[in-house]
Formats: sequence, C-alpha cells, structure tokens
Amino acid sequence: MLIVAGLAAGIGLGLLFGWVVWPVSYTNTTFTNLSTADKETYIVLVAAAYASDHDLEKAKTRLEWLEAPNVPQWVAELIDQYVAERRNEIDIGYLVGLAHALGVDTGQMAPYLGTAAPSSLQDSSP
Amino acid sequence: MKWQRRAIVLALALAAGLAVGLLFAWGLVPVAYQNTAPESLEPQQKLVYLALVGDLYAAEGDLGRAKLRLSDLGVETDGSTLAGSIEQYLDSGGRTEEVSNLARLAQDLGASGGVLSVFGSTPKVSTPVASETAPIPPTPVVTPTAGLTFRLVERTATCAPARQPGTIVVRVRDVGGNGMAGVKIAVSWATGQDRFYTGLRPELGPGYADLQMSPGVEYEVSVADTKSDVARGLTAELAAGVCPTTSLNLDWEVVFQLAP
Repeated sequence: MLIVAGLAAGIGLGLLFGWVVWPVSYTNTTFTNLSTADKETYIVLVAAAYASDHDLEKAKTRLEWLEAPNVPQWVAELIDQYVAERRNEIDIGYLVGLAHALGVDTGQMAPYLGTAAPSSLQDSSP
Repeated sequence: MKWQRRAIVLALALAAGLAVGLLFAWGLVPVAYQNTAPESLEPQQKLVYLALVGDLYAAEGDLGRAKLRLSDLGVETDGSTLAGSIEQYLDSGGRTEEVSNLARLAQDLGASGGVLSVFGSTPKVSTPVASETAPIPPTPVVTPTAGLTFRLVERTATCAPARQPGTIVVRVRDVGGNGMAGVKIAVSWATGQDRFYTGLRPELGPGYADLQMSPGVEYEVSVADTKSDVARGLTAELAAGVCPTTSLNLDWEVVFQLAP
C-alpha cells in the first residue's frame, strides 16, 4: 500500500515537473516545425521579397527551408485559399507573381497575372 | 524503527515514481516539435528569416513593420542586438547585399559602429520603380568585381607580442593607397577556408582586417570574388633565434592594392 502510494505520488510529481515546473522549451526548431500559419506567413514574405528583387533563385532557396515536397503547388493552393478567404489583394498578387515564376498557372491566378505583379512593395504583407 | 523503514520504503517508491513520471514525460511521450513559432528557430535558420526581414525593410522602408517582424522572430528591436546577429550572419557566409540591408535596419534602429560602419551605408538591394534620384551613400562599400585586380604589394613577418598567438593583418587599398572597407577576404588552409571583411574595426582603418592563426597551420590569403594575388605560406611558426625568447609566434601583415 505504502509502495503504491509512493509510486503514485512520485509519478504525479514526475509529470508535474516534466510538464509544468520544467516545461518543454522549444528551441532550435526548424522551418519544418513551424505552425502552418507561420509557414504561410513566411511564404508570403518570400513572395513579397521576390516582388521587390525578382531574384528567383533566392526565393527558391528560401522556400527550400520549408522542406515541402511541392512548394509551387503549395503556393498555388495558398493563392486559392487567400482568394476564397478574400485576403489582402496585394499579398495575393505577390503569391501569384511567385507561383507564376515557379511555373504554376491556375485559373485563380489569371486575373492577377493580367495586372502585372507589383513592382514595389505596398502596405500588405505581415 | 518501523516508521523509519516505512519512510525509507516511501522515499524509494517516491523516487521510483518520479523516475517513471519523468521517463514518461520526457521519454515515452517524446516532445513533438510541431506548431512552433519563428522565435524558436535554431540560430542558422533564424538568420535566414532575419535576412528576409532585412530585404523587406530595404524594399518597404517601414520600420514599424520591420520591428514587428523582428519581435515575431524573438529578436530584440534595438539596433545593437541586431548588429550582433548581423556579425553572426556574416560569419555564416551571408550574402553581402542581405547583410547590407540588415545593417541599414540596425542603423535605423539606432545602432552604429562595428559591422554597421562597413555595411550600413550601402545602397539597398531592392529594385525601385522608375526612380527619381537615388541617394548617394556617404562611404560606399567596395564590392570587387571580376574586372578588378588586386596585387600583393607587401608581405611582412614580425615577432608577435610576448605570449600572443600569431595574427595575419590584411590591409586593402585602392589605386590611390586609401583603405577600402567592406572588401571580402578569402583565407584558406589545408583543412578549411573562411571569409572575412575589411573595415569591421574602423579604429584601425577602413581597409583593415585580421585573423588569428592556429599553431602549425599554413594559410593562404587573397581578396575574394575577384582577380587577386595570393599571399601563401603564412604560418605562425617561428624559427629559433629570430625573435626575443618571450615571443612565441610570428605575425604577418599582407597588403593588397587595387591595380590601376
């Protein structure tokens, strides 16, 4: 009885220390560990930078950090999502410019490709 | 004595339970690194993100937004903290134009000196729309292009100060003999290589850079990314009787000058 009580109390203490007192501190994580929202924010920022410098290699290198199997497809899906959610038009323009440069063209992108992607950054990206 | 035995049993059970609990919390249910925030990125990847923030600042010129992005990254929005990160980025091989953009951001956040005096005043990397008159930077950083040639005009060995390791001092001058800041220097040795820049210690002149040598290693130094003579055979090894007995190593000074 005493042993069971001691074990139970010890386990409780262990969990208390492991999860509460010394909680896990997230350090040294990678881009792949970011939340989906943060990854999408990052993609929009990369697209915004690409709209400014038109350096596709640099944009690709930055996107490679996400280690996603098909980043162009992801950007295209993000455009669909942003259009559906009526997100910031300028951000959508940046994403369209990047997706187009990455070789992706979808029906959703057509209206934005008609009006050239912004050549200078405006008040939009996060 | 019975209560003492019980106390011992209880303590042992507690300890065992604690071990099981910690094993469970830290081992059996391992931490899943998912949905983390940008501020938890490991240093190298944070620098990648930081360079992006710098590029966007160069394009937008929006300091408030840049501060927000720095905060998201867990980077203090004072210029001096950012300047420290810039030096790390330089050390990790960051691209010059990205370093310049970050340096401008750090300057606009109130920092000055050090790496910022070399990179902070360079033109931004973004391509502005049909521009009016672009401002001329007060002290332009010289980025050597393939057309330039640097000649090795001086290669001098001296006795290092007492009990100090050997140092390679590099000076880079333009055609007129003036120091050139922000010039990338390449150094290599049998098992590795590195890059560093002139002008990071402005008190020693704009064209100054230095590197501490390791014992027994032979170095080659040149101006990077352009045509340059190479200073070879630079080693701290000291022949007997050459220097005072307190001096344990050789220092080198190499001077590169832009050819006319």
